[in-house]
Amino acid sequence: MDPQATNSTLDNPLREGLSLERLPSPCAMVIFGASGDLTRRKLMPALYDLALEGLLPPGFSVVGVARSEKSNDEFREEVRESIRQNARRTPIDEGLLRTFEEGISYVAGDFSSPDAYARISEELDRLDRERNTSGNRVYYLATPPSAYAEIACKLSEQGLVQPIEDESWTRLIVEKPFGNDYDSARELNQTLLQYFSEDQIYRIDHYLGKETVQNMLAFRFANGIFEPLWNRTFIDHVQITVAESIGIENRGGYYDQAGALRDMVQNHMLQLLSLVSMEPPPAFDADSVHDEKVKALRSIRPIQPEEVDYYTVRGQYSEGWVMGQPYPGYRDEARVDPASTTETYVALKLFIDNWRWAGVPFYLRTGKHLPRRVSEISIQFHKAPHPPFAENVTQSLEPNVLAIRIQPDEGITLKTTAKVPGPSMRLRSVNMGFLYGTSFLVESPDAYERLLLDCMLGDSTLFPRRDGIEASWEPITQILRGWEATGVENLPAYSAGTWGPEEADSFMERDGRQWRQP
Amino acid sequence: MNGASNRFERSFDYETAMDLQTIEQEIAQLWHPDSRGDDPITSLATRASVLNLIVVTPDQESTDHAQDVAERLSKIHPCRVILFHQTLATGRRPVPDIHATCEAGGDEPSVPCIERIRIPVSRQMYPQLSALVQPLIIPELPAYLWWLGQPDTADPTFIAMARASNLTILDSLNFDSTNDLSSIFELEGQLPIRSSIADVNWQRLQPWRELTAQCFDIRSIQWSLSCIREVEIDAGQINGRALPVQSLLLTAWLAHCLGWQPFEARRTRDDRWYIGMYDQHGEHVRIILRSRPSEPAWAGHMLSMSMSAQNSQGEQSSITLSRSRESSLIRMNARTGLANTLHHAVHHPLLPDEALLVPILETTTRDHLFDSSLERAVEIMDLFGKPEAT
Repeated sequence: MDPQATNSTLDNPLREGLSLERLPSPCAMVIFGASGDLTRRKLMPALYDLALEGLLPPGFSVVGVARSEKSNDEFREEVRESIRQNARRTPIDEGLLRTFEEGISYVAGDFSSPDAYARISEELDRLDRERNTSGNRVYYLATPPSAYAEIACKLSEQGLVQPIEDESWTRLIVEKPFGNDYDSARELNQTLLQYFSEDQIYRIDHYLGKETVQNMLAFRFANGIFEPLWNRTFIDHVQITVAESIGIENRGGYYDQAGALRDMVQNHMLQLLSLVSMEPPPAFDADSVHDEKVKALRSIRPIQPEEVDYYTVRGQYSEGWVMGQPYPGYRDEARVDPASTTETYVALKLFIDNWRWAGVPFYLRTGKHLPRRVSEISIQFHKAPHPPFAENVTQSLEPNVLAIRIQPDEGITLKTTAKVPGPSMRLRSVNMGFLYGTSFLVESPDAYERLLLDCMLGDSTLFPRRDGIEASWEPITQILRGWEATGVENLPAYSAGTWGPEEADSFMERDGRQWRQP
Repeated sequence: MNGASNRFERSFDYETAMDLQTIEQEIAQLWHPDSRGDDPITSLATRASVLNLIVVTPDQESTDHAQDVAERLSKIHPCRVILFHQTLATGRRPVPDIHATCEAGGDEPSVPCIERIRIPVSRQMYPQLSALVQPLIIPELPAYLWWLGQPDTADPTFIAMARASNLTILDSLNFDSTNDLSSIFELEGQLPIRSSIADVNWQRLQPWRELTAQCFDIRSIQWSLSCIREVEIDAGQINGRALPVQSLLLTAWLAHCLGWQPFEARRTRDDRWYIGMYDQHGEHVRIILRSRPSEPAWAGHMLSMSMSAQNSQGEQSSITLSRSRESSLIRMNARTGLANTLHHAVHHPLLPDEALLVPILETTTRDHLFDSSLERAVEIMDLFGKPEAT
């Protein structure tokens, strides 16, 4: 963490013992793409919710930047509406909203125009003078990735990247996708690093801001009973499922170019895989956690082009019913090529070639228009080596499964075997369940709230690091190359509302296993 | 039991003398699937508890209030509530009421649950409270004692209950006199290391403390922290003309954090108190506490605080925090010199008891800052009884 990021009790003895020990220094956030959907639906509501919790510093200010001409008042009106529609906590505190709005201003301009950056610079100087933002800036690129390089370059040319004094800081937040393969991700990183240093760059993967994902670290490393079992000696295989009941909604143009592998596996699912497979970090700080995650990602065995059909299954949804509603097939969606071969479902079998996980398969699957929205990691243990019961009793004996449910209904279930009450020895699997929500019913903050706050605090633990991004693209790029080489003759189809193509079931049955029904 | 509203409840009334073993059996029975009938929603019920909440109430009104608060609390922290209400006439037999409630809220199948054991006690039974509560608490979970009303810190029953709990929760807003703070301080010194005291009123001061600290995070104002010369605190009038405990606790907190040493204190008017302190450089800090008429809801609550500072170069700064009743905000205005003004606001409505209790129930360790501030408050209180310094 940036040592200048947080206020300490040395600077301010009144901070001793306060719950808000992690309060950012006064700062301004410049949002490029201020008219966009992300700003409206996520960023502004998250900032308002932070203000409501008292987590924004005094003088906090937002400068919206977009092409369209509008006045400060018009932009504030847009912000007000977006907060009213999307804030997590309602009713809206109108008094607080008015105070929050006082810190919002707007600069119209083309991202390629030096004039726009000159006006941004003037506005930031004004905020430093009038609202004590002390030269601290966050630049949030809520724009298409194609604009990242240009904005970073222009910010640098205008002298807006370097902190204006020793104690101030500037940071850059970029949204996914970080490239569309290994080479483009590397190129994007190199471009950004020409202008910003690595510790100034915050790459948002909102999945990591989810309370439930963070809880996985607590689950693994704050409990003494699981870690000794967390290896190839006791674990048969791991399944990671991220199922979505929704389709591609209005993202046909983007999705048809990306597909499930790029959209979900490279980022969210490999992040989950790295969290579940990483070694315990020596400390819970950004570098220690990133180091271990990157080691795990780098240990993923590459899938060679000639192996892709063996280790992967692709599918595309056809028309069907999901949650009682009829949906068209993927190729009938808006802005999708009617002959598209883009995968909306993918299943993978990966191996992590290290001492802990040698020989343990990790099965990953994700898809659109599956029967329900669910994300979970299930750890299947080896069967008991020698159950001392009669054969007819042990026939139905199932292995223990530890399932970590990420969403919805976060919790942990452990499947164990118990005797059915009665005179004879009959065994049956039972689930011991712990629902996180039944013990901690406090509403969790939105992922963006947590991540925006962390960035202002200079804590990059929940933001993927450059080497992590590149390490996660490497195995994915190998698969993409393999798919490209083998072509798509008969892309398996699955009806919307089912758990994917039949080929995915055969894929597991081949290994003598089956997908868990989440 | 009522399944129609995604809720099941069951109560057992006894017409026998209190039998703790039976109470425990009946709680287990409440959770048995057979006792929950065929309603499918009840099959979701999970028995999850994170704490024991022991509540002692002096009268019917506070009993009803405590019960409502406990029900709402259970939606955040599923718990076993053991409620003793001192409403039973002497000579009558207690009739415990055992009750479990689970709610499946909306689409979420997570089921917050509460087990409530409500036991009326008579004056005759009161000394047995500590013995009654021990077998009823869920082992291995922290036990919190929420004592409503004015505690008698010399009362052996109160002391025994406090010693048996991890945390005793009081509310100094309701104290008859600030002298009771001294008794609480003395009591805390007698508790075993695993037990401590929390004050709901201290929790109410949290946003004031946060915002005061935030003022001095601003670099252009930070210098003034070491040269504050005057502090004025206004609170809603309580108990006629008593010194508001909130104002005293905030003053004590400032003194503790900034190393101020109180040397004199006196009442200057019916509604005004003066406290003199020396800061770390030996400079005089004047503190004025005022109590002013307010709506009943704000009685005893802080309404505003202003601080002014001046350094050796003659630079001045002033900071004002004031409550906006209409919008549930605390506003901050800071000025250094002539031009540099800062406005900030935080959302802080008058919080209900359950919102104040939630953070208290999330801690099991001593709040050393509260302990130190309480100690400093007691020092100030002692000065009010002394002849003025020259």
